[in-house]
Amino acid sequence: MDDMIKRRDFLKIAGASGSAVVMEGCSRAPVEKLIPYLVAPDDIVPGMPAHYATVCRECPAGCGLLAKTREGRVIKVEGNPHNPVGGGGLCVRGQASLQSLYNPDRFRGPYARDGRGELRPVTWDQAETTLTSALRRLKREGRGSRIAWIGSLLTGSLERLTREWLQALGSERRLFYETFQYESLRRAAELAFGRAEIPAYHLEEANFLVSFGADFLETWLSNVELARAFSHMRKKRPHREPDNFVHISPRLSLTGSNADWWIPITPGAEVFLALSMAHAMIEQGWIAAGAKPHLRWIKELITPFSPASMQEATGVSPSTVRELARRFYHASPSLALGGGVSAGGDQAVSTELAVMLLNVLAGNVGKTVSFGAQQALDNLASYRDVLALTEDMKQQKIDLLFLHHCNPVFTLPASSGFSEALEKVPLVVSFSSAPDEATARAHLVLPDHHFLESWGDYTPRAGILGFQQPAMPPILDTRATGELLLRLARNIDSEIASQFDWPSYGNWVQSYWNSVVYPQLMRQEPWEEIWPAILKSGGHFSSSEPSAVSLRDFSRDIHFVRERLEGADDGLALVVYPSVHFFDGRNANNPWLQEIPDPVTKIVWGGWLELHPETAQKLGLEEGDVVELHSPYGRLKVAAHLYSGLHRGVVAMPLGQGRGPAGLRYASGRGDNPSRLLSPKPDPTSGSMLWRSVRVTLSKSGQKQEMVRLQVQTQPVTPVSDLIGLDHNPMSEKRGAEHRAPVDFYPPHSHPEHRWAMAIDLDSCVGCNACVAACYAENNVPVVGKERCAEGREMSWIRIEKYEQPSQAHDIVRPGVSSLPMLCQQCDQAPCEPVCPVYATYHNPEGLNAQVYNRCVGTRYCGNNCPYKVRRFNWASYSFPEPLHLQLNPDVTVRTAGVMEKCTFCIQRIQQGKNIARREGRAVRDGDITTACAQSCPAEAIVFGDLTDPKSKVAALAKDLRGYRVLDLLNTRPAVTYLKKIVSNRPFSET
Amino acid sequence: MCAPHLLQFFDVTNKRGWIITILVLVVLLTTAAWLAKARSYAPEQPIAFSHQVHVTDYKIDCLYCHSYAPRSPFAGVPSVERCMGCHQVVAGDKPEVKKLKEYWDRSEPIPWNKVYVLPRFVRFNHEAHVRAAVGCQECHGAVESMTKIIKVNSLEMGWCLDCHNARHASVDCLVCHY
Repeated sequence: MDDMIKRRDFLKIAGASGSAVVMEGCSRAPVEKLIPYLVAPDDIVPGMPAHYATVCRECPAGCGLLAKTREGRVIKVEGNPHNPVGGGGLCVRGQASLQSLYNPDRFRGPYARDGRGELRPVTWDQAETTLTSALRRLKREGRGSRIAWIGSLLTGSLERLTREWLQALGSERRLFYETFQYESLRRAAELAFGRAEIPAYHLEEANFLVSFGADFLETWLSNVELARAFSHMRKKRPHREPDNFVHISPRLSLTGSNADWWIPITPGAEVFLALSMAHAMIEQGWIAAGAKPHLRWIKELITPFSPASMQEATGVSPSTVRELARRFYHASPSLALGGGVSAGGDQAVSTELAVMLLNVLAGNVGKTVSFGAQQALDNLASYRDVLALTEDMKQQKIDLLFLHHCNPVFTLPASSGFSEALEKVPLVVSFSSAPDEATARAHLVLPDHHFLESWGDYTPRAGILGFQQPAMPPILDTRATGELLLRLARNIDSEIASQFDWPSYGNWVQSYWNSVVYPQLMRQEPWEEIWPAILKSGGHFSSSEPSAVSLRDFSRDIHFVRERLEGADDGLALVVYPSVHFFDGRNANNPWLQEIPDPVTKIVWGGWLELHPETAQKLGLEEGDVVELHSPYGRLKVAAHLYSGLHRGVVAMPLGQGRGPAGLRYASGRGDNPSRLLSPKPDPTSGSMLWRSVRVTLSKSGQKQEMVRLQVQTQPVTPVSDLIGLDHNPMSEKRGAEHRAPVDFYPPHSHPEHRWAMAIDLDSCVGCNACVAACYAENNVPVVGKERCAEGREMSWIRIEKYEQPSQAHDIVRPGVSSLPMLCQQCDQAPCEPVCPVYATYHNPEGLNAQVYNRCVGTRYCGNNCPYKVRRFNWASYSFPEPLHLQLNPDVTVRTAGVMEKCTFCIQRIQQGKNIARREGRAVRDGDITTACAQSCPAEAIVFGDLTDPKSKVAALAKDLRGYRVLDLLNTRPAVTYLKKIVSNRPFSET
Repeated sequence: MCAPHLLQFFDVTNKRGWIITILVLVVLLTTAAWLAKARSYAPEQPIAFSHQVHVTDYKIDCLYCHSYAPRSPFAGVPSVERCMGCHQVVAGDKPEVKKLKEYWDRSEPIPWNKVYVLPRFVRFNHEAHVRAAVGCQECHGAVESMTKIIKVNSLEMGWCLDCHNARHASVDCLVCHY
């Protein structure tokens, strides 16, 4: 017995040797390699960022973009202040374009379909050989006209290359297809002014805005630019009469949520409301001088549409219409905007015409609406053209189809038969960078570079010549489509080869700029002097002169009738709307966009159908019930979400979810695609797609699906509840009975050098989530997935809290929605600080509430004690699947399991700003340092700066009459000042 | 009579004594090894590069090779091209320089072993220290007399703070940890 080692002794030895291993482990510094450059690049200083100006190509808006690179990798994108499109701001999709660059599901190289019909990786040589021989054969046999190209909107150099390249092969069939078209707007402009073009809108000049469903803060035309203009329009409005935006739509969108008044109109009655407004204006003699010569025919045209006779159709009382007309006329210049996707029924052209009539009557044309902008979107093919191509494909008249950054299988109505027609094309070539519904049917997949890896250019409208330069070398085995076309041209035959004799696509772009763009600029300086400036500022920007237009008599060209909907008479009209996150579905596989809550519903990681609570009650449906939707063209199942921001006769469904192909790790299996329910017929007047064309019937499936919703409050909390106009004095309110002189237990902090602070103007914040995505990118915030979000373990450092004040049902209501970006308040008397047992969180001398990850032991006391709930605990070590990890900001620690984290006002940017100031031997200036959220805000709602600098913007805003601090009564003394939203409490009829 | 009492714990004739002896020895040895290594970490390098030759004998300034130090958080190691800039013509016959040439000919960077490694949660900035006139040697030791780089300082936080305190530099956590 004595000879044997006892259990207890064994444990002792084991413990001792274990500790020895641990000690040994500590003793050796880990062997890390220090790899030098072989040849040091000129433009890279390791550890220092380099910025490249380029253009965002996530959508056709084409905002200016600055790509911040470190050691040759893009780690952050920000708006380019030089480019008037965006003007320094970006939207949530633009911010998240990094995740389309580093998306783990991107094609890593070319693919070809093998004999068994499966996509297999091939080499570029093989892929090019296959395509070259097909092209050579088609050209030789004179069947070049049977080649077709359908792709995203192109301008400039690639537009020219694709056109000439296809022409050289004998094809004229090139369609620029974007899911969201503006055909009805162009058609209406053609009828009214004889110019088939999209006008330019100058919101910043307007004093009163009426939108008939145009969701200009989301996807309509150019959302960042319009959001900025909208915020300028709002900032200059008189506080005594703050109501200057009325939104008219069956669904309260994000744009509508920002309106002062919302008319939940019967779907299809938008046109009648616009006409009855015009009627009221003429009746009262509220007519601008410019409209007077046309008065005769206009009067005749609108006679049947008096507010009283239209009340039944619109559901809006004549007095409301008259008041709306009065304000619209007297606020000159005002602006009326026509519908977007959610208003895209068969009366869309009529609505746009009626809206143009309103603008003419109020004298807005030439002031807030102008023509001659030459929008790139004018060059889009219409849906009718796409259907014609589909028909030719079905009839086997197309031998080769190129698909360039578009996904018609997903975005066209399933009933259009595009998917089946694709099967009839012998060779389908896709340039898509990631698997989509179309590559699932393509024979060759030749993935293009991401736009951040590419040369190129984009001109969204006249004068805005955006230039694209690669911000980094390609990370995957992809090939720029332009480059590929030039390579193919070299090998098809000598005739084509001589026509496209360019060593590389980069040369093509540069020579296009030299030979085509430069002469247009009319500049004195030689090209060699202008060229570096173009690279630096991301293009060449000038304003273009608007063209004068005159109204035509269109009364014989149009009949104003009711919108026709197909489907059961007792069904509900289906409103399909694009979301600011997913656009038409192209961004659905982007984890940030899935995890950041939808700005309206606050749902994460899923699709839904919006139902009015009363409708739901009638049908016996509850939140999360899976509903089967039937339309004459299809059926689908989707989870119900109750939303009171709807007309009672409609249901609404967002576009973008329901992405099909397997292998999309973030998008697959979420929700469904509403375009499966839509009519394939084009609008006879404009040829555009009918987004609002069907009524659907709902049946309960009996299944339930969990809906994860974050950050919604229907009961407003304290200071947000006193949303007031400045006719009250908020100072007196703040210093009222509730206010007590603060009593402090701890001595006050001193801030000898700086006190970093922020001011957030809730009147400007539109709740678009751009700041949230910017924060994810800047601070290496991990994505946790749906299950963990459901547990409340999402990691975002900044969130948009949405407060809803339900209003009484009426013909015109206050949306009662306010958005509040909530982030760490950097309290002066922070409740989190004294409870940390290890001093991991403390007040730093610059007023920041510091969080030291390496000290944190994860007690979570701080999180429990934080009244703002802005601290996030790492319940696990979250992964960044390759190559998403390349996006990580090397200036910020990647946190691991067991550590608390939170916003520190982008401390890395503060340190960098201070470092640059010291390098230049000067003090930090106001505006030198800004946080990622403030930088990205399209509405310029967030201002960051130093409170100890009395001249700083933030110091002035901190004393603003509208300023308040959230949960002030707790005496936490936050460094974030919120400026109250300006809301009048007067009813619509009195002003 | 305390010594015999103590010693009897280490009586190797019984098993209990063995265990205690092993335990104590292991702890002592590992501690000693740890202390020794922490002070003088000097891994073998792929090329036996001598700072003494370059700095003391040939009077090459630190910043000639570590050129990023005054303008970046990283001092940087010279590119292979920069080494070859001199060694195309200088000392081409020396065995270590031949190794360098082989790397250059293979277009391969030299996989140096990192001697001064900071944990991932530390943000050190060379530029700020150069600006504050902290000499390279204050942290890296008398590199000019080293034929092989030896880590002479622990790089532990206490060591950093000693200097920060002495120079009245900021000791705010957020200066280095974020």
